[in-house]
Amino acid sequence: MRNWRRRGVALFVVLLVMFVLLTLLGAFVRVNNTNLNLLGLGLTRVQAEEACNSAVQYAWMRLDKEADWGSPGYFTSHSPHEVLGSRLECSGSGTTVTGKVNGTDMTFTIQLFNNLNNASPDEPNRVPKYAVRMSIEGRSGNARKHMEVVLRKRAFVDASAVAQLRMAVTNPQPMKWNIDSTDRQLNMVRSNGTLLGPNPGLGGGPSQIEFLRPAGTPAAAQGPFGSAWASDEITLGTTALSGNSAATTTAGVNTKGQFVPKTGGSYQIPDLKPEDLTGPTTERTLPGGTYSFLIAGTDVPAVPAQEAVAEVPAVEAQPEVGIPGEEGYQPAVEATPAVPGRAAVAAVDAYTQWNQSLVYTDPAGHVQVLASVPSGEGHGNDYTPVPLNRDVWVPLALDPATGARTDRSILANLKTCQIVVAPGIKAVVPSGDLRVDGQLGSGNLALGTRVEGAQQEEHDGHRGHRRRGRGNAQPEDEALAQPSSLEALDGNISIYGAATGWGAIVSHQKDISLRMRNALATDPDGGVALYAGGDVTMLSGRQSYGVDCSDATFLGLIYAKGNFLARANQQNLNIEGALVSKGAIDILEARNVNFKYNPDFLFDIIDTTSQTSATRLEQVSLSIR
Amino acid sequence: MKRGFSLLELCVSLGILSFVLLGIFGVFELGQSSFHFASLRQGLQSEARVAFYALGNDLRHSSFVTVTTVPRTVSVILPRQESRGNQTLDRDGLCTAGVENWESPGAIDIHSGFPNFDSFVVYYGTSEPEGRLIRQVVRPALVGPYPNAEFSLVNSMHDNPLANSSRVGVTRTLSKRLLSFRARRDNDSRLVVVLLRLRGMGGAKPGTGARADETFELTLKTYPENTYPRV
Repeated sequence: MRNWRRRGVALFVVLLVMFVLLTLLGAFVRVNNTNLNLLGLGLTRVQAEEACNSAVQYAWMRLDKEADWGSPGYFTSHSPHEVLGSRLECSGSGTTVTGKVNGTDMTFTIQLFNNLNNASPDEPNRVPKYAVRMSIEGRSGNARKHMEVVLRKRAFVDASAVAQLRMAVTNPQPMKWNIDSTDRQLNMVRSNGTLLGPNPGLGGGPSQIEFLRPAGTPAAAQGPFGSAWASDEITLGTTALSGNSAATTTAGVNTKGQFVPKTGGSYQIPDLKPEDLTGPTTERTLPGGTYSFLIAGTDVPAVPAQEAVAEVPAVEAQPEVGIPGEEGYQPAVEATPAVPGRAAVAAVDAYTQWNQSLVYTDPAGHVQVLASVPSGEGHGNDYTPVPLNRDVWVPLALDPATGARTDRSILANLKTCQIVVAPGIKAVVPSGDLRVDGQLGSGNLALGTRVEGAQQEEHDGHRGHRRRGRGNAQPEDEALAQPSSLEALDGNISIYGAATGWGAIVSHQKDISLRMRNALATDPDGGVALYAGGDVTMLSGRQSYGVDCSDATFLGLIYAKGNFLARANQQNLNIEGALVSKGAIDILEARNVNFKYNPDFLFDIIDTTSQTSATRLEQVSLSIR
Repeated sequence: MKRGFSLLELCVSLGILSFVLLGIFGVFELGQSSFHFASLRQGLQSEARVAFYALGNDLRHSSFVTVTTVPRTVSVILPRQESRGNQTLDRDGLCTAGVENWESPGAIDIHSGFPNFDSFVVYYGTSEPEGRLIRQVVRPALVGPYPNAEFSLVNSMHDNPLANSSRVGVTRTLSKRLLSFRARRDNDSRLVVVLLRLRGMGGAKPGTGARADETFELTLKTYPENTYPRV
């Protein structure tokens, strides 16, 4: 009996121990299982997000190569399957791309809304112009992540003015610096050094700086509508802003912007080489030297007085009324700027608009009269002023075959004192400087203007079409829409009078000097209005005979590898596009300085046809859920 | 005839039993305090994780140029550390632009592709000794891709979150055990750096007998993905 009892106790103890051990084992297994599940869930979620990231990187790479990748019909004309190394397999159908990361269970699906080649938004699919929206689902196991990404073409710079060393916009007299943008989200000026601006109303008085309200912004909005960045100090008037939060705040409120001094960082100004520039490809040689328009006589007819032209008033912005789609809804109306009138032209007793000779002095100092007003047409021995009754066009370009000055792609007009480059022509000065001198405010340059008698020549490709991407309607006068350019390969370009027209002035290595009476618009395809390997200088013109310096207006990119200096003598400087200087920007004595950032001019600055990358993209928004 | 236990045997066995019980209770006590200590730590970690998930998510969807911080230090006497007197702690404020509903059709601007920021998210630490980390959504008069001009110590960082101006939606208290909250913008790297320290107090610390007073610290460095321009 005693043995049986002992055996029963032993069995009980053994069973108890086994129970405890099994309970412990069960708890251990359960805890570990839970931990493993949690870890696995976290891992698959991370993997699903990484699948989304892989999809973005893959699509970005493909779109960099081909801007129409994934657009409707693309995969019917291109192979829909692609294998990248041993890791990634993708296939496209319609506008959807699916991918699998080999060796894992990570997969993704990209729904593409490609609008990269269109200059207008794709409203139904909510894609901005020059952009692509991607709706991505990444999967790994049971985990799913959804990512929305918008990529768009990268503009050359992101500010209306960028200076490497210093930016100074000053005037001891009252002035106004308006900083505007066609991009609702991007309105900036940047300096990698100091920034010196006029008084933003610190201490009373009106602000001399204003960040303009973007179109479509509620009228009640008071900003900030833009920003001014400087790696170093920002001084407005006489007040330094860093460390002075009260002044910074007041300046921001008064200007409807924000000022960010001493950012510490440095904006990387992109490098631009002359060979990167787009533009006309039909070259004609214009020998360097000094082209001077000289007055032949002094007794000339008077210029009659002319009436002033009234200003066209602005249309005030109207806010949106009601709810879109509902009855009574009225969309918002954007404000239109006032169109300035033109001042009356006073009578001038003696104005030698015509009555000229064109003299050419070559770099060696040899002088020759290229053309003169014919006898009896403006001056004669009898000193009877007789106005010119026809234009006198003097060919300046060298004929590519004979080397003689017979080609009519580059002409001089003695009546208007202009050197004119025909549409679609690249006027090249192979060596030495080009100076177009004149007296009494003459000595002008006109680019891309139709010239009677000038031959219209074919030029390569489709560049130069002014309205590319702005609808298919081509203007009837296509020849007028072709830009031209003037390029000096190793010398300076100096234009005494006005530079006007449609195209670009390029000095590969040296300086460009202009007067403050320019109106130069560039081709949105080319984008560059002025390119200087050295400095760009604009000085006020000489005032005489009623010819004053006037506003300077540029549409496009102004790029100076050196400094940019404008001494405006109370005239206005208007730049729409961007002003980029790898040196300093100094704008002095301007009555109004109007900067308007317009990335439309900046998307296709660099000619990428010779490079592997066709599109430069940037990510503008991302959301994950 | 059976003999009973002698007094000596009883004393010895009781002594042995006492030692055994002491050991058992010691182990039990150690297990219990370890459990509480682990719970305290786990609680701190999970509070920090919740706070960091919200912070990371909001910051990641934001734009660097909209991020503003208000540095603030408070001088407080911490419970259980009265002997150390006043201690100076960071209880900063952080504000960044956000989009309330990313799935709405208007979340992306059709003209630029940028997010249509329609609100700001504010994080700040309250000034009490045992601080709270507050998350609020605010909608000031002007919302856009720029800093919140109304974000300040006076307007936006009250100990009573309901007193803050422009708040909309639900106010969340992400932690009630905040020791310090430090937020900074790094202009060079364009990262937002957040340092969060939570402090938890519990019973005896296992093995030492001292009272548990744990601090858990996390640093978050986030790049706001919707930053534009990128430099």
